[in-house]
Amino acid sequence: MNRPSPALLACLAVALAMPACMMSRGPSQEQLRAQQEWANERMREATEMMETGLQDMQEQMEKAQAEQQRPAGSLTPEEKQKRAEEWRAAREQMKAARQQDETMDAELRKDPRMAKELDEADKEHREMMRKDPSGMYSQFNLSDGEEAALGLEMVPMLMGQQKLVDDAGLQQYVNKVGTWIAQQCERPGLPWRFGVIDSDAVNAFAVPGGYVFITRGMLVLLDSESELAGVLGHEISHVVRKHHLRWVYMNKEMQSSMQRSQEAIRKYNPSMLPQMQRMDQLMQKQAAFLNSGSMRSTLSQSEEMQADTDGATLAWRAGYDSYGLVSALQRFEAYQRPRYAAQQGGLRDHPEPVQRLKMLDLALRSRAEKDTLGEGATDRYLEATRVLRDRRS
Amino acid sequence: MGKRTLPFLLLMVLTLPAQAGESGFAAKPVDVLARPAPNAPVVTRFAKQQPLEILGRNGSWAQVKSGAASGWVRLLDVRFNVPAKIAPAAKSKLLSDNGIRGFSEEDLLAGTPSRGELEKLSFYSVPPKDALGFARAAGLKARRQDYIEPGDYMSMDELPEDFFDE
Repeated sequence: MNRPSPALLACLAVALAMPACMMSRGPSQEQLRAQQEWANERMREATEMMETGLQDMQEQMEKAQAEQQRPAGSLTPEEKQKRAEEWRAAREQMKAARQQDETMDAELRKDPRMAKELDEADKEHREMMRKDPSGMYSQFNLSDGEEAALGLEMVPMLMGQQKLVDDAGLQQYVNKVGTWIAQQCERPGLPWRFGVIDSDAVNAFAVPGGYVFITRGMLVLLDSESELAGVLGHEISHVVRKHHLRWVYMNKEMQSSMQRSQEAIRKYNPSMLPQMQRMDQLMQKQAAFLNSGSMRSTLSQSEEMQADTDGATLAWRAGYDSYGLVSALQRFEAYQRPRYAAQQGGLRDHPEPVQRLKMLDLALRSRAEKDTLGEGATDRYLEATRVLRDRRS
Repeated sequence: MGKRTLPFLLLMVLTLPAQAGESGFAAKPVDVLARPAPNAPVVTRFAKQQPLEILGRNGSWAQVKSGAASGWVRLLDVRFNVPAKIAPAAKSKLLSDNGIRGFSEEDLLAGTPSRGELEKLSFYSVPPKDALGFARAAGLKARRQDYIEPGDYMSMDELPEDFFDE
Protein backbone atom coordinates (compact mmCIF):
# COMPACT_ATOMS: atom_id res chain seq x y z
CA MET A 1 0.00 0.00 0.00
CA ASN A 2 3.01 2.24 0.39
CA ARG A 3 4.15 2.30 -3.18
CA PRO A 4 2.80 5.22 -5.24
CA SER A 5 -0.62 4.41 -6.57
CA PRO A 6 -1.00 4.08 -10.33
CA ALA A 7 -3.59 6.86 -10.20
CA LEU A 8 -0.99 9.12 -8.70
CA LEU A 9 1.49 8.15 -11.40
CA ALA A 10 -1.12 8.89 -14.02
CA CYS A 11 -1.75 12.31 -12.52
CA LEU A 12 1.96 12.90 -12.52
CA ALA A 13 2.23 11.94 -16.16
CA VAL A 14 -0.57 14.32 -17.03
CA ALA A 15 0.93 17.07 -14.95
CA LEU A 16 4.25 16.63 -16.71
CA ALA A 17 2.60 16.74 -20.09
CA MET A 18 0.65 19.87 -19.27
CA PRO A 19 3.20 22.67 -18.94
CA ALA A 20 4.27 22.24 -22.54
CA CYS A 21 0.71 22.79 -23.73
CA MET A 22 0.23 25.77 -21.54
CA MET A 23 3.33 27.70 -22.51
CA SER A 24 2.28 31.01 -23.97
CA ARG A 25 4.40 30.78 -27.11
CA GLY A 26 3.58 27.12 -27.44
CA PRO A 27 5.94 24.32 -28.32
CA SER A 28 6.33 22.93 -31.78
CA GLN A 29 3.92 20.22 -32.86
CA GLU A 30 6.77 17.73 -32.71
CA GLN A 31 7.70 18.66 -29.20
CA LEU A 32 4.10 18.36 -28.15
CA ARG A 33 3.73 14.95 -29.74
CA ALA A 34 6.91 13.73 -28.08
CA GLN A 35 5.65 14.91 -24.73
CA GLN A 36 2.31 13.23 -25.19
CA GLU A 37 3.92 10.01 -26.29
CA TRP A 38 6.11 10.09 -23.27
CA ALA A 39 3.09 10.59 -21.02
CA ASN A 40 1.24 7.78 -22.78
CA GLU A 41 4.17 5.51 -22.16
CA ARG A 42 4.11 6.31 -18.43
CA MET A 43 0.41 5.63 -18.40
CA ARG A 44 0.89 2.26 -20.06
CA GLU A 45 3.50 1.37 -17.47
CA ALA A 46 1.19 2.41 -14.65
CA THR A 47 -1.67 0.35 -16.06
CA GLU A 48 0.51 -2.72 -16.44
CA MET A 49 1.88 -2.32 -12.96
CA MET A 50 -1.61 -2.09 -11.63
CA GLU A 51 -2.82 -5.10 -13.59
CA THR A 52 -0.09 -7.40 -12.28
CA GLY A 53 -0.32 -5.90 -8.81
CA LEU A 54 -4.03 -6.56 -8.63
CA GLN A 55 -3.57 -10.13 -9.82
CA ASP A 56 -0.85 -10.77 -7.23
CA MET A 57 -2.95 -9.31 -4.47
CA GLN A 58 -5.96 -11.38 -5.37
CA GLU A 59 -3.95 -14.60 -5.47
CA GLN A 60 -2.29 -13.86 -2.14
CA MET A 61 -5.58 -12.98 -0.54
CA GLU A 62 -7.27 -16.16 -1.66
CA LYS A 63 -4.42 -18.20 -0.27
CA ALA A 64 -4.31 -16.31 3.01
CA GLN A 65 -8.08 -16.47 3.33
CA ALA A 66 -8.13 -20.24 3.11
CA GLU A 67 -5.62 -20.48 5.94
CA GLN A 68 -6.85 -17.66 8.08
CA GLN A 69 -10.15 -19.31 8.68
CA ARG A 70 -8.53 -21.96 10.80
CA PRO A 71 -7.22 -21.27 14.27
CA ALA A 72 -3.47 -21.79 14.62
CA GLY A 73 -4.15 -24.53 17.18
CA SER A 74 -5.77 -26.73 14.54
CA LEU A 75 -2.86 -26.60 12.11
CA THR A 76 -0.73 -29.68 11.40
CA PRO A 77 3.01 -29.40 12.23
CA GLU A 78 3.75 -29.01 8.51
CA GLU A 79 1.23 -26.23 8.17
CA LYS A 80 2.64 -24.49 11.23
CA GLN A 81 6.10 -24.71 9.77
CA LYS A 82 4.81 -23.34 6.51
CA ARG A 83 3.18 -20.45 8.32
CA ALA A 84 6.39 -19.72 10.21
CA GLU A 85 8.35 -19.84 6.96
CA GLU A 86 5.96 -17.44 5.30
CA TRP A 87 6.32 -15.13 8.23
CA ARG A 88 10.09 -15.28 7.94
CA ALA A 89 9.92 -14.65 4.21
CA ALA A 90 7.68 -11.64 4.80
CA ARG A 91 10.11 -10.38 7.38
CA GLU A 92 13.03 -10.78 4.96
CA GLN A 93 11.08 -8.88 2.35
CA MET A 94 10.37 -6.12 4.79
CA LYS A 95 14.02 -5.90 5.74
CA ALA A 96 15.09 -5.88 2.09
CA ALA A 97 12.60 -3.11 1.33
CA ARG A 98 13.91 -1.11 4.24
CA GLN A 99 17.47 -1.57 3.04
CA GLN A 100 16.51 -0.52 -0.46
CA ASP A 101 14.89 2.61 0.93
CA GLU A 102 18.00 3.42 2.88
CA THR A 103 20.29 2.87 -0.11
CA MET A 104 18.13 5.07 -2.30
CA ASP A 105 17.99 7.71 0.38
CA ALA A 106 21.78 7.70 0.74
CA GLU A 107 22.16 7.96 -3.03
CA LEU A 108 19.82 10.94 -3.25
CA ARG A 109 21.45 12.66 -0.33
CA LYS A 110 24.77 12.87 -2.14
CA ASP A 111 23.41 16.11 -3.56
CA PRO A 112 23.30 18.53 -0.60
CA ARG A 113 20.30 20.42 -2.02
CA MET A 114 18.41 17.15 -2.28
CA ALA A 115 19.45 16.20 1.25
CA LYS A 116 18.01 19.46 2.52
CA GLU A 117 14.76 18.90 0.64
CA LEU A 118 14.45 15.37 2.00
CA ASP A 119 15.12 16.50 5.55
CA GLU A 120 12.41 19.10 5.27
CA ALA A 121 9.94 16.63 3.79
CA ASP A 122 10.72 14.14 6.58
CA LYS A 123 10.26 16.79 9.22
CA GLU A 124 6.98 17.89 7.72
CA HIS A 125 5.71 14.31 7.53
CA ARG A 126 6.68 13.57 11.13
CA GLU A 127 5.00 16.76 12.25
CA MET A 128 1.80 15.88 10.39
CA MET A 129 1.75 12.34 11.76
CA ARG A 130 2.33 13.68 15.24
CA LYS A 131 -0.69 15.94 14.90
CA ASP A 132 -2.89 13.41 13.17
CA PRO A 133 -1.73 9.78 13.11
CA SER A 134 -4.66 8.79 10.91
CA GLY A 135 -2.66 10.12 7.95
CA MET A 136 -5.85 11.37 6.31
CA TYR A 137 -5.19 14.81 4.97
CA SER A 138 -7.45 14.83 1.95
CA GLN A 139 -10.41 16.97 1.11
CA PHE A 140 -12.60 14.09 2.31
CA ASN A 141 -11.34 14.18 5.83
CA LEU A 142 -14.24 15.06 8.08
CA SER A 143 -13.83 17.96 10.47
CA ASP A 144 -13.99 17.08 14.17
CA GLY A 145 -17.47 18.62 14.30
CA GLU A 146 -18.72 16.59 11.34
CA GLU A 147 -17.24 13.46 12.82
CA ALA A 148 -18.86 14.10 16.20
CA ALA A 149 -22.20 14.63 14.45
CA LEU A 150 -21.77 11.32 12.62
CA GLY A 151 -20.95 9.63 15.92
CA LEU A 152 -23.98 11.16 17.56
CA GLU A 153 -26.14 9.54 14.86
CA MET A 154 -24.47 6.19 15.41
CA VAL A 155 -24.58 6.05 19.19
CA PRO A 156 -28.34 5.48 19.62
CA MET A 157 -28.26 2.82 16.92
CA LEU A 158 -25.36 1.10 18.61
CA MET A 159 -26.88 1.31 22.04
CA GLY A 160 -30.23 0.09 20.81
CA GLN A 161 -32.25 -1.13 23.74
CA GLN A 162 -29.18 -1.53 25.90
CA LYS A 163 -29.05 0.59 28.99
CA LEU A 164 -26.15 2.24 30.70
CA VAL A 165 -25.40 0.84 34.14
CA ASP A 166 -27.39 2.97 36.55
CA ASP A 167 -24.50 3.91 38.82
CA ALA A 168 -23.08 7.43 38.61
CA GLY A 169 -20.00 6.55 40.67
CA LEU A 170 -19.00 3.71 38.36
CA GLN A 171 -19.78 5.67 35.18
CA GLN A 172 -17.74 8.63 36.35
CA TYR A 173 -14.83 6.44 37.40
CA VAL A 174 -14.63 4.99 33.87
CA ASN A 175 -15.03 8.49 32.43
CA LYS A 176 -12.19 9.81 34.58
CA VAL A 177 -9.82 7.03 33.55
CA GLY A 178 -10.90 7.27 29.90
CA THR A 179 -10.78 11.05 29.66
CA TRP A 180 -7.37 11.10 31.33
CA ILE A 181 -6.04 8.64 28.73
CA ALA A 182 -7.75 10.54 25.91
CA GLN A 183 -5.86 13.65 27.03
CA GLN A 184 -2.64 11.81 26.07
CA CYS A 185 -3.79 11.09 22.51
CA GLU A 186 -3.53 13.30 19.44
CA ARG A 187 -7.19 14.32 19.62
CA PRO A 188 -7.63 15.47 23.21
CA GLY A 189 -10.13 18.14 22.17
CA LEU A 190 -12.88 15.73 21.07
CA PRO A 191 -15.88 15.60 23.40
CA TRP A 192 -14.85 12.24 24.84
CA ARG A 193 -17.68 10.22 26.40
CA PHE A 194 -17.32 6.84 28.07
CA GLY A 195 -20.24 4.61 28.94
CA VAL A 196 -20.60 1.31 30.80
CA ILE A 197 -23.31 -0.75 29.12
CA ASP A 198 -25.39 -3.02 31.29
CA SER A 199 -24.61 -6.28 29.52
CA ASP A 200 -23.05 -9.60 30.53
CA ALA A 201 -21.22 -9.82 27.23
CA VAL A 202 -17.52 -9.00 27.24
CA ASN A 203 -16.79 -6.20 24.82
CA ALA A 204 -15.84 -2.57 24.24
CA PHE A 205 -16.67 -0.29 21.32
CA ALA A 206 -15.57 2.96 19.77
CA VAL A 207 -17.73 5.26 17.67
CA PRO A 208 -16.37 8.15 15.55
CA GLY A 209 -16.25 11.46 17.37
CA GLY A 210 -14.98 10.09 20.68
CA TYR A 211 -17.69 7.80 22.06
CA VAL A 212 -16.37 4.73 23.82
CA PHE A 213 -18.42 1.96 25.41
CA ILE A 214 -17.41 -0.91 27.62
CA THR A 215 -19.70 -3.62 28.92
CA ARG A 216 -20.29 -4.57 32.52
CA GLY A 217 -19.09 -8.09 31.59
CA MET A 218 -15.74 -6.70 30.46
CA LEU A 219 -15.31 -4.70 33.67
CA VAL A 220 -15.98 -7.84 35.73
CA LEU A 221 -13.49 -9.83 33.66
CA LEU A 222 -10.71 -7.26 34.16
CA ASP A 223 -8.70 -7.03 37.33
CA SER A 224 -6.82 -3.72 37.41
CA GLU A 225 -6.98 -0.14 36.23
CA SER A 226 -4.00 -0.73 33.93
CA GLU A 227 -6.02 -3.45 32.16
CA LEU A 228 -8.97 -1.08 31.83
CA ALA A 229 -6.56 1.61 30.59
CA GLY A 230 -5.29 -0.76 27.90
CA VAL A 231 -8.80 -1.63 26.70
CA LEU A 232 -9.94 2.03 26.67
CA GLY A 233 -6.63 2.96 24.98
CA HIS A 234 -7.41 0.39 22.26
CA GLU A 235 -10.80 1.99 21.62
CA ILE A 236 -9.42 5.54 21.74
CA SER A 237 -6.85 4.50 19.15
CA HIS A 238 -9.59 3.49 16.68
CA VAL A 239 -10.90 7.05 16.93
CA VAL A 240 -7.42 8.62 16.69
CA ARG A 241 -6.48 6.57 13.62
CA LYS A 242 -9.98 7.06 12.17
CA HIS A 243 -10.30 3.39 11.33
CA HIS A 244 -14.05 3.78 11.00
CA LEU A 245 -13.75 6.39 8.31
CA ARG A 246 -11.06 4.75 6.23
CA TRP A 247 -13.40 2.98 3.81
CA VAL A 248 -15.41 6.03 2.96
CA TYR A 249 -12.22 8.00 2.54
CA MET A 250 -10.45 5.44 0.37
CA ASN A 251 -13.28 5.05 -2.12
CA LYS A 252 -13.93 8.75 -2.45
CA GLU A 253 -10.26 9.55 -2.76
CA MET A 254 -9.85 7.05 -5.57
CA GLN A 255 -12.89 8.23 -7.48
CA SER A 256 -11.86 11.84 -7.20
CA SER A 257 -8.30 11.31 -8.36
CA MET A 258 -9.62 9.38 -11.38
CA GLN A 259 -12.02 12.13 -12.22
CA ARG A 260 -9.35 14.79 -11.97
CA SER A 261 -7.01 12.85 -14.23
CA GLN A 262 -9.72 12.20 -16.79
CA GLU A 263 -10.71 15.83 -16.98
CA ALA A 264 -7.10 16.87 -17.47
CA ILE A 265 -6.54 14.25 -20.12
CA ARG A 266 -9.65 15.17 -22.08
CA LYS A 267 -8.42 18.73 -22.12
CA TYR A 268 -4.74 18.32 -22.91
CA ASN A 269 -4.01 14.87 -24.24
CA PRO A 270 -7.04 13.07 -25.72
CA SER A 271 -4.76 10.46 -27.29
CA MET A 272 -4.38 9.02 -23.82
CA LEU A 273 -8.11 8.44 -23.33
CA PRO A 274 -8.27 4.75 -24.32
CA GLN A 275 -5.48 3.96 -21.88
CA MET A 276 -7.24 5.98 -19.29
CA GLN A 277 -10.47 4.06 -19.71
CA ARG A 278 -8.60 0.81 -19.26
CA MET A 279 -7.12 2.23 -16.11
CA ASP A 280 -10.57 3.29 -14.95
CA GLN A 281 -11.86 -0.27 -15.33
CA LEU A 282 -8.92 -1.55 -13.36
CA MET A 283 -9.55 0.98 -10.64
CA GLN A 284 -13.14 -0.15 -10.37
CA LYS A 285 -11.97 -3.73 -10.16
CA GLN A 286 -9.55 -2.72 -7.45
CA ALA A 287 -12.25 -0.87 -5.54
CA ALA A 288 -14.48 -3.93 -5.66
CA PHE A 289 -11.58 -6.01 -4.42
CA LEU A 290 -10.82 -3.63 -1.58
CA ASN A 291 -14.44 -3.79 -0.55
CA SER A 292 -14.58 -7.58 -0.66
CA GLY A 293 -15.07 -9.43 2.58
CA SER A 294 -11.64 -11.05 2.54
CA MET A 295 -9.79 -7.78 2.05
CA ARG A 296 -11.86 -6.04 4.68
CA SER A 297 -11.20 -8.84 7.07
CA THR A 298 -7.44 -8.63 6.49
CA LEU A 299 -7.28 -4.85 6.78
CA SER A 300 -9.54 -4.88 9.78
CA GLN A 301 -7.29 -7.42 11.50
CA SER A 302 -4.25 -5.23 10.94
CA GLU A 303 -6.19 -2.27 12.35
CA GLU A 304 -6.96 -4.29 15.48
CA MET A 305 -3.25 -5.05 15.91
CA GLN A 306 -2.48 -1.37 15.49
CA ALA A 307 -5.13 -0.44 18.04
CA ASP A 308 -3.56 -2.96 20.44
CA THR A 309 -0.04 -1.50 20.19
CA ASP A 310 -1.40 2.07 20.23
CA GLY A 311 -3.65 1.27 23.18
CA ALA A 312 -0.72 -0.03 25.22
CA THR A 313 1.23 3.12 24.31
CA LEU A 314 -1.64 5.43 25.28
CA ALA A 315 -2.02 3.66 28.63
CA TRP A 316 1.71 4.08 29.22
CA ARG A 317 1.57 7.76 28.32
CA ALA A 318 -1.14 8.12 30.98
CA GLY A 319 1.17 6.58 33.60
CA TYR A 320 0.00 2.95 33.45
CA ASP A 321 1.87 -0.26 32.87
CA SER A 322 1.76 -1.20 29.14
CA TYR A 323 1.35 -4.88 29.95
CA GLY A 324 -2.10 -4.14 31.38
CA LEU A 325 -3.48 -4.66 27.88
CA VAL A 326 -1.56 -7.93 27.48
CA SER A 327 -3.11 -9.10 30.74
CA ALA A 328 -6.58 -7.97 29.60
CA LEU A 329 -6.11 -9.84 26.31
CA GLN A 330 -5.08 -12.91 28.27
CA ARG A 331 -8.29 -12.85 30.27
CA PHE A 332 -10.17 -12.19 27.08
CA GLU A 333 -8.46 -15.13 25.37
CA ALA A 334 -9.61 -17.44 28.15
CA TYR A 335 -13.13 -16.12 27.83
CA GLN A 336 -13.17 -16.64 24.07
CA ARG A 337 -11.33 -19.98 24.07
CA PRO A 338 -14.42 -22.25 24.03
CA ARG A 339 -15.88 -20.30 21.15
CA TYR A 340 -12.72 -20.30 19.05
CA ALA A 341 -12.28 -24.01 19.63
CA ALA A 342 -15.82 -24.65 18.41
CA GLN A 343 -15.94 -22.19 15.53
CA GLN A 344 -14.04 -22.67 12.33
CA GLY A 345 -14.39 -20.95 9.02
CA GLY A 346 -15.93 -17.62 8.22
CA LEU A 347 -14.18 -14.32 7.86
CA ARG A 348 -13.07 -12.50 10.93
CA ASP A 349 -12.70 -8.87 11.88
CA HIS A 350 -10.28 -9.65 14.64
CA PRO A 351 -7.19 -11.82 14.75
CA GLU A 352 -7.35 -14.91 16.89
CA PRO A 353 -6.95 -13.89 20.55
CA VAL A 354 -3.81 -15.98 21.12
CA GLN A 355 -2.09 -14.55 18.06
CA ARG A 356 -3.17 -11.08 19.04
CA LEU A 357 -1.72 -11.58 22.48
CA LYS A 358 1.58 -12.86 21.12
CA MET A 359 1.81 -10.09 18.58
CA LEU A 360 1.30 -7.39 21.21
CA ASP A 361 3.87 -9.03 23.46
CA LEU A 362 6.30 -9.11 20.55
CA ALA A 363 5.64 -5.44 19.84
CA LEU A 364 6.13 -4.41 23.47
CA ARG A 365 9.37 -6.34 23.66
CA SER A 366 10.80 -4.01 21.01
CA ARG A 367 10.89 -1.48 23.85
CA ALA A 368 13.23 -1.30 26.83
CA GLU A 369 11.53 -2.81 29.88
CA LYS A 370 11.56 0.51 31.74
CA ASP A 371 9.50 1.98 28.89
CA THR A 372 6.70 -0.48 29.63
CA LEU A 373 6.46 -0.16 33.40
CA GLY A 374 3.90 1.93 35.23
CA GLU A 375 0.95 1.90 37.58
CA GLY A 376 -1.19 -1.21 37.84
CA ALA A 377 -3.74 0.24 40.30
CA THR A 378 -5.46 -3.04 41.16
CA ASP A 379 -6.92 -1.91 44.47
CA ARG A 380 -8.50 1.25 43.13
CA TYR A 381 -10.00 -0.70 40.25
CA LEU A 382 -11.45 -3.45 42.41
CA GLU A 383 -12.94 -0.90 44.75
CA ALA A 384 -14.46 1.15 41.93
CA THR A 385 -16.01 -1.89 40.24
CA ARG A 386 -16.95 -3.72 43.44
CA VAL A 387 -20.61 -2.94 42.92
CA LEU A 388 -20.58 -5.09 39.75
CA ARG A 389 -18.82 -8.03 41.39
CA ASP A 390 -21.15 -7.94 44.39
CA ARG A 391 -24.13 -8.01 42.10
CA ARG A 392 -22.90 -11.18 40.43
CA SER A 393 -22.04 -13.19 43.52
CA MET B 1 -7.79 8.97 57.98
CA GLY B 2 -11.35 9.96 57.27
CA LYS B 3 -14.44 8.23 58.51
CA ARG B 4 -14.71 6.28 55.30
CA THR B 5 -11.18 4.94 55.27
CA LEU B 6 -11.62 2.13 57.77
CA PRO B 7 -14.47 0.32 56.03
CA PHE B 8 -12.53 0.78 52.81
CA LEU B 9 -9.42 -0.84 54.27
CA LEU B 10 -11.45 -3.68 55.68
CA LEU B 11 -13.01 -4.17 52.32
CA MET B 12 -9.64 -4.32 50.61
CA VAL B 13 -8.51 -7.01 53.00
CA LEU B 14 -11.63 -8.95 52.19
CA THR B 15 -11.53 -8.39 48.47
CA LEU B 16 -7.93 -9.05 47.60
CA PRO B 17 -7.63 -12.70 48.63
CA ALA B 18 -10.77 -13.46 46.64
CA GLN B 19 -9.17 -11.95 43.56
CA ALA B 20 -5.76 -13.47 44.19
CA GLY B 21 -4.85 -16.97 43.09
CA GLU B 22 -6.67 -17.19 39.81
CA SER B 23 -6.32 -20.55 38.15
CA GLY B 24 -4.58 -21.18 34.87
CA PHE B 25 -1.96 -23.35 33.21
CA ALA B 26 1.44 -23.12 31.53
CA ALA B 27 1.15 -22.38 27.81
CA LYS B 28 4.44 -24.21 27.14
CA PRO B 29 7.29 -25.85 29.09
CA VAL B 30 8.69 -22.97 31.07
CA ASP B 31 11.50 -22.15 33.52
CA VAL B 32 10.21 -20.69 36.78
CA LEU B 33 12.49 -17.92 38.04
CA ALA B 34 13.19 -16.67 41.56
CA ARG B 35 12.60 -13.02 40.61
CA PRO B 36 10.81 -11.21 37.74
CA ALA B 37 14.01 -10.71 35.77
CA PRO B 38 15.41 -12.64 32.79
CA ASN B 39 18.74 -13.42 34.49
CA ALA B 40 17.23 -14.55 37.83
CA PRO B 41 18.05 -18.09 39.00
CA VAL B 42 15.76 -20.89 37.85
CA VAL B 43 13.74 -22.35 40.73
CA THR B 44 11.92 -25.11 38.92
CA ARG B 45 10.39 -26.00 35.59
CA PHE B 46 6.69 -26.33 34.75
CA ALA B 47 5.47 -28.64 32.01
CA LYS B 48 3.16 -27.54 29.22
CA GLN B 49 -0.46 -27.51 30.43
CA GLN B 50 0.66 -27.77 34.07
CA PRO B 51 -2.14 -26.34 36.22
CA LEU B 52 -1.06 -23.35 38.27
CA GLU B 53 -2.28 -20.47 40.36
CA ILE B 54 -1.58 -16.95 39.13
CA LEU B 55 -0.79 -14.96 42.25
CA GLY B 56 -0.10 -11.60 40.67
CA ARG B 57 1.53 -9.63 37.90
CA ASN B 58 4.51 -7.33 37.73
CA GLY B 59 4.78 -5.70 34.30
CA SER B 60 5.47 -8.49 31.82
CA TRP B 61 5.93 -11.08 34.58
CA ALA B 62 3.40 -13.30 36.36
CA GLN B 63 3.94 -14.76 39.81
CA VAL B 64 2.76 -18.36 39.74
CA LYS B 65 2.45 -21.31 42.09
CA SER B 66 1.96 -25.00 41.40
CA GLY B 67 1.88 -27.35 44.36
CA ALA B 68 4.71 -26.29 46.66
CA ALA B 69 6.73 -24.63 43.88
CA SER B 70 6.35 -20.96 43.10
CA GLY B 71 8.19 -18.23 41.22
CA TRP B 72 8.00 -15.94 38.21
CA VAL B 73 7.38 -16.65 34.53
CA ARG B 74 6.76 -14.41 31.54
CA LEU B 75 3.15 -13.28 31.50
CA LEU B 76 2.85 -14.57 27.94
CA ASP B 77 3.68 -18.11 29.09
CA VAL B 78 0.58 -18.50 31.24
CA ARG B 79 -3.03 -18.91 30.17
CA PHE B 80 -5.99 -18.25 32.40
CA ASN B 81 -8.66 -20.90 32.78
CA VAL B 82 -12.00 -20.12 31.19
CA PRO B 83 -13.82 -17.98 33.79
CA ALA B 84 -16.83 -19.78 35.19
CA LYS B 85 -18.76 -16.75 36.34
CA ILE B 86 -18.84 -14.96 33.05
CA ALA B 87 -21.50 -15.41 30.41
CA PRO B 88 -20.41 -17.45 27.39
CA ALA B 89 -19.48 -15.54 24.25
CA ALA B 90 -22.31 -14.88 21.85
CA LYS B 91 -22.15 -15.86 18.20
CA SER B 92 -20.04 -13.65 16.03
CA LYS B 93 -20.87 -11.35 13.18
CA LEU B 94 -18.78 -8.99 11.09
CA LEU B 95 -18.80 -5.53 12.53
CA SER B 96 -17.00 -3.48 9.91
CA ASP B 97 -20.08 -2.81 7.83
CA ASN B 98 -21.77 -0.68 10.45
CA GLY B 99 -18.61 1.35 11.01
CA ILE B 100 -18.36 0.54 14.68
CA ARG B 101 -15.10 -0.83 15.97
CA GLY B 102 -15.23 -3.21 18.89
CA PHE B 103 -12.74 -4.96 21.09
CA SER B 104 -14.15 -8.28 20.00
CA GLU B 105 -16.27 -9.55 17.13
CA GLU B 106 -19.35 -10.05 19.17
CA ASP B 107 -22.36 -8.26 17.89
CA LEU B 108 -24.43 -7.82 20.97
CA LEU B 109 -25.96 -4.44 20.53
CA ALA B 110 -28.93 -4.21 18.26
CA GLY B 111 -32.40 -2.84 18.53
CA THR B 112 -34.23 0.41 18.22
CA PRO B 113 -32.47 3.72 18.79
CA SER B 114 -32.68 5.12 22.25
CA ARG B 115 -32.12 8.83 22.83
CA GLY B 116 -32.57 8.77 26.58
CA GLU B 117 -29.36 6.89 27.17
CA LEU B 118 -27.52 9.45 25.06
CA GLU B 119 -28.46 12.17 27.51
CA LYS B 120 -27.24 10.05 30.39
CA LEU B 121 -23.98 9.55 28.55
CA SER B 122 -23.39 13.31 28.52
CA PHE B 123 -24.51 13.55 32.11
CA TYR B 124 -21.89 11.05 33.28
CA SER B 125 -19.08 12.55 31.21
CA VAL B 126 -16.16 14.23 32.93
CA PRO B 127 -14.45 17.45 31.77
CA PRO B 128 -10.69 17.13 31.14
CA LYS B 129 -9.83 19.21 34.20
CA ASP B 130 -11.64 16.71 36.45
CA ALA B 131 -9.80 13.86 34.74
CA LEU B 132 -6.55 15.71 35.41
CA GLY B 133 -7.55 16.09 39.06
CA PHE B 134 -8.27 12.38 39.25
CA ALA B 135 -4.87 11.56 37.76
CA ARG B 136 -3.08 13.91 40.14
CA ALA B 137 -4.80 12.38 43.16
CA ALA B 138 -3.99 8.90 41.85
CA GLY B 139 -0.32 9.80 41.30
CA LEU B 140 -0.56 9.21 37.54
CA LYS B 141 1.88 11.29 35.52
CA ALA B 142 1.70 11.98 31.79
CA ARG B 143 4.69 10.70 29.83
CA ARG B 144 5.78 11.01 26.21
CA GLN B 145 6.19 7.98 24.00
CA ASP B 146 5.92 7.37 20.26
CA TYR B 147 3.63 4.68 18.92
CA ILE B 148 5.14 1.37 17.91
CA GLU B 149 4.99 0.92 14.15
CA PRO B 150 4.87 -2.59 12.63
CA GLY B 151 8.36 -2.08 11.17
CA ASP B 152 9.70 -1.70 14.74
CA TYR B 153 8.98 -5.30 15.63
CA MET B 154 7.95 -7.20 12.50
CA SER B 155 11.52 -7.00 11.23
CA MET B 156 13.06 -8.03 14.53
CA ASP B 157 15.69 -10.68 14.12
CA GLU B 158 14.40 -13.27 16.52
CA LEU B 159 10.90 -14.62 16.24
CA PRO B 160 9.92 -16.93 19.11
CA GLU B 161 10.18 -20.47 17.78
CA ASP B 162 6.82 -21.45 19.17
CA PHE B 163 5.04 -18.40 17.80
CA PHE B 164 2.60 -20.48 15.78
CA ASP B 165 2.33 -23.35 18.22
CA GLU B 166 -1.02 -22.64 19.78
